[in-house]
Amino acid sequence: MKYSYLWLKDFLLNIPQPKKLADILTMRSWEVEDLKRSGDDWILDISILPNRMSDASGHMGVAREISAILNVGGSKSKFILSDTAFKENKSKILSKYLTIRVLDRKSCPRYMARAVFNIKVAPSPKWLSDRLIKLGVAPINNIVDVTNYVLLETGQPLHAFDYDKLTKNSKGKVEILVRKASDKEKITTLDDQNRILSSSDLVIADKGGPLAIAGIKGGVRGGISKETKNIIIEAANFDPITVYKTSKKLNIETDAAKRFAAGLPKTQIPGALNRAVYLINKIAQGAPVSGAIDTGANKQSNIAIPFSLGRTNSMLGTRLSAKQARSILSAIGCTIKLISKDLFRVTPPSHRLDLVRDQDLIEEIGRLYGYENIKAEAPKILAYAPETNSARITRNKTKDFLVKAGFIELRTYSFVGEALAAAFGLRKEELIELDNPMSEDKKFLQPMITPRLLAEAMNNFKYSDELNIFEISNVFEYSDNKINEREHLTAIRAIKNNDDTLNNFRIVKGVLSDMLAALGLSDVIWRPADTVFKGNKNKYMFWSTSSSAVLEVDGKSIGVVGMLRPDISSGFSWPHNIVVAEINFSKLVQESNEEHEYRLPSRYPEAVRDIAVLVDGNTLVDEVGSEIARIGKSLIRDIELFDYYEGENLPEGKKSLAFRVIYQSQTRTLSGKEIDDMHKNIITALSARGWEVR
Amino acid sequence: MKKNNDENTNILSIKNDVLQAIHGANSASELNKIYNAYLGKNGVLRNLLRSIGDIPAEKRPGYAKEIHNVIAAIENSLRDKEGVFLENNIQTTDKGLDITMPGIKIKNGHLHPLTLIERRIEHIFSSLGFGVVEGPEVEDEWHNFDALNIPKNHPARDMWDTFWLRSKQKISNSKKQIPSPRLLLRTHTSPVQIRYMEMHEPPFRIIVPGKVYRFEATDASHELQFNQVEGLMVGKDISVANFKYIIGVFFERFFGTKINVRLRASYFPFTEPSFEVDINCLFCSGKGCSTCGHSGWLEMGGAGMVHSEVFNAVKYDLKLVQGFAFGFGLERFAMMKYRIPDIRLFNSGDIRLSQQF
Repeated sequence: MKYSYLWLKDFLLNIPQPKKLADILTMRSWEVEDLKRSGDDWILDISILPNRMSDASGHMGVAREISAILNVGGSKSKFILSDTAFKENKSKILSKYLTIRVLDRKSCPRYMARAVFNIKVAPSPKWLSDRLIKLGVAPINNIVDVTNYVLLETGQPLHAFDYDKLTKNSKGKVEILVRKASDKEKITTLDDQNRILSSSDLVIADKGGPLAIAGIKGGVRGGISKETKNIIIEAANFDPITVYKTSKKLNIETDAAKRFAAGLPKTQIPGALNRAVYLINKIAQGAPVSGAIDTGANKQSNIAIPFSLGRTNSMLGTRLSAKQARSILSAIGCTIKLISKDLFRVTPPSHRLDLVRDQDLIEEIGRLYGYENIKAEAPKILAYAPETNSARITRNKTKDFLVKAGFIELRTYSFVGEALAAAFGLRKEELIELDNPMSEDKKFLQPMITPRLLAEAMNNFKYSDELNIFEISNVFEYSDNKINEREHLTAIRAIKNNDDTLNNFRIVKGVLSDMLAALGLSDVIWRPADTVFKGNKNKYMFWSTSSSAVLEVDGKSIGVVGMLRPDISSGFSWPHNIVVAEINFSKLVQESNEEHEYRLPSRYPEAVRDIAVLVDGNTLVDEVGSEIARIGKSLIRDIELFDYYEGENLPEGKKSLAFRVIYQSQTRTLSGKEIDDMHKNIITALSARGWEVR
Repeated sequence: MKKNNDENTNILSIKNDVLQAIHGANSASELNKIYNAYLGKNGVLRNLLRSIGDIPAEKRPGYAKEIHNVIAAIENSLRDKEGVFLENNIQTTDKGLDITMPGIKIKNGHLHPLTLIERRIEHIFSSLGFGVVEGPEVEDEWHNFDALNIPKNHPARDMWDTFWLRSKQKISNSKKQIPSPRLLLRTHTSPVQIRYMEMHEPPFRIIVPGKVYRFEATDASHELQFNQVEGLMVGKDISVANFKYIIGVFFERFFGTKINVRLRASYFPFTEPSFEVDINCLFCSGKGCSTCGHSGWLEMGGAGMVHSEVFNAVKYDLKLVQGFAFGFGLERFAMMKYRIPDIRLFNSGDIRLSQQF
């Protein structure tokens, strides 16, 4: 909010120089975001904090704050009030012209009005319009300008009505009603907008209908014009929540609404109203009608707050004396009653609506004493041993492992749009939609990491021919009638201009297998996806099921690893060799308990034999491997595929698989004969399956 | 007897001949020839061993031993000579390495810079005894706002522009009735304070890193999705002075240099007193530059003493607890530490960001 240095000076004679003032305010009260010269004046842009809008949204309030800061600092500052004294026209009594009925007292705790008759509407004098312009308010005419001027000065919004335009009752009197609007009641506001109200909105009305949306904006009817002769000026207090809700609902932001929504002191009403009448009387002539109508609470109920010096010092980490604490509290206008050495009863001044509990007072003492004067002090040792966060440990280990394996960590948005979701086969009924998305491509929370990550990461082909990337993030899905949030890990490998998908898959599989082993997971099974997602017509979300594996750890499926569906790759003009692994990382964390059991290495010698088999192209390596294991039982320690070949010199549709079988027993030395016999058995068994052993 | 002597003499003369030859050899290939002639498959000494049957039985052990001695002597001599050749060879062929050639890199991956920042922060706070706690990104209104003393229909809520979820459904893990169950994307990590305090009794000290979301247009310094780290320390007599100590130690360790911290009056609904935490500008050492807006100070985050309404929300006894809370943006730390100019780079998926770390 903008404040004029010279205007502040009206209230404070010994005000510090502008730059110094800005520094003081920034440290003690509110940040001065900008300080600019404007002719002989300076404009301070102060971001008044939300809890202080109630007392500092006008120049008087800020001046009062500066005065308090200076007083705590030891320099005496005198706070000067502005002139409000005017002469009433005793021949005209307000109650003869006006009655006020507040029908909803909760929404309007206080309503006060005065009238000035025979005014001359004209442009404002230069001194007044200059001040408004400097602070960004456009001058309109002397009456409206005065209400705006008093608002900027006191923080109290005012409203002026053209008395002659209001509907009179049978006794020739204007009756102002403060009431809730009826449903669909209409008002044309001063900005020429037609607004439709509802029963939760508060209006100022006469018999002829609404004149203003209370605390927010005036209506066209009853507005001040060049012809206006007689005016009523209102100064009121409205319930913050009512004003806040209506202004949000109607999307009207005004200086008045902003202040009422923050809450204003009821006690500032007479001062502001009198100041307005004084100024109108001075610049627009006219005669103030005798008397004022003031309805509702004219007192702020000031609750005394019990305040403990000990608690204050304990919370701030200070050793302030009672005298120091009292001088700060009195500087901001509190009255203090001493109960004991430690305990005071503190009554805040009526304009400080933000001071209701002892912590509010402790803050006042802290900031005015100066946080820079509080000395850093190590906390006493607490009996507290932090819990270990196993998710974080596993996550860090995983990231480190993947980085060593050549993968780059990326981070992307947690959102997907409709197009991306559809392209990747995400089920719409599982998507969680935002009420207020920022853009089309961020309409839903991501249920999987892959779509967004791929969409962003494939741009990297501009800089790199090979992509090995991963992301660990939360995903969100609507299922079983609830929102499920969990952590996923996605790893992707893609190569430009190379279609060896199998090789890519094997690299990803190798890395993930090692990673799982490093996390202490040994019971890992790679199950062909098409045997798991039967009836899914060869696709599971964005994977080609005939070229994917379901990853199982300890018998639980934790993710899918395999080739991105070629129709998706084609749709985005990506190569067809993209291998995607998306793993439920939350589940992985649960399984990875690092409960490794040490297995004694066999003390007996091992023997190595190789077997090469010629099999049909669609025979899985695992099928052959598990047949070897089935026959070999406990005599085989390890079986590994060491060669794989298809193509030239082999019959059409066949492939050659070469296994290295390591024979070793935990309990004894195997004899050569035993091994040879076993090997023969294996060969026989494989041949029986129709696999040609070569 | 004679024969025996002859045989031994013969062996010894072979030995002398061979050692002479080795001595006089000029190349490794000559050595190889000598080896083949005497010790190779059909070498002289091998043949002698093979014909050992021709020797009377009682002499065989002595004779065999002699041959083996000679073989050993020749092998030693060969090895010595080979060593000489090798050394000569090294001296003549080693022209020195050009150690200024670029290194051949083993292709490693890279961590995202935010991960590095997060780890650094965690490491420092862990060493100060803080636990690391996490919480959900989809939150209910009560944990994100109400419990943190940010009431409905209060202008204070406007400080957090919020993404709301369309779904009226519950979060999976909430069993209790929640007063304001409407769901949103958490606007700060502070709801995790509430979740933690609901389950734990003081004293404790924790930090909470995590993603947060704001309904906000993005530009070089604003993101709708970014990361915060939240801190909370609660005990019987935790004070502002304690906060100054902890945060001072943290900044010094994080930036590895002496840092001036200043607390400025501020307002947050969930703390009181509240302050902004500034540090002296690292780019101009406090002299004033464009990064710090010529103020000499950089705003790092917000902090304060936990508001009694927050303790009330988790049913703590106000007479027994007090503590501080703070919150920082991770991106700001990363941008300062690594001089990253645009906050949007973090979520861009551009490998050229991560690759530099």
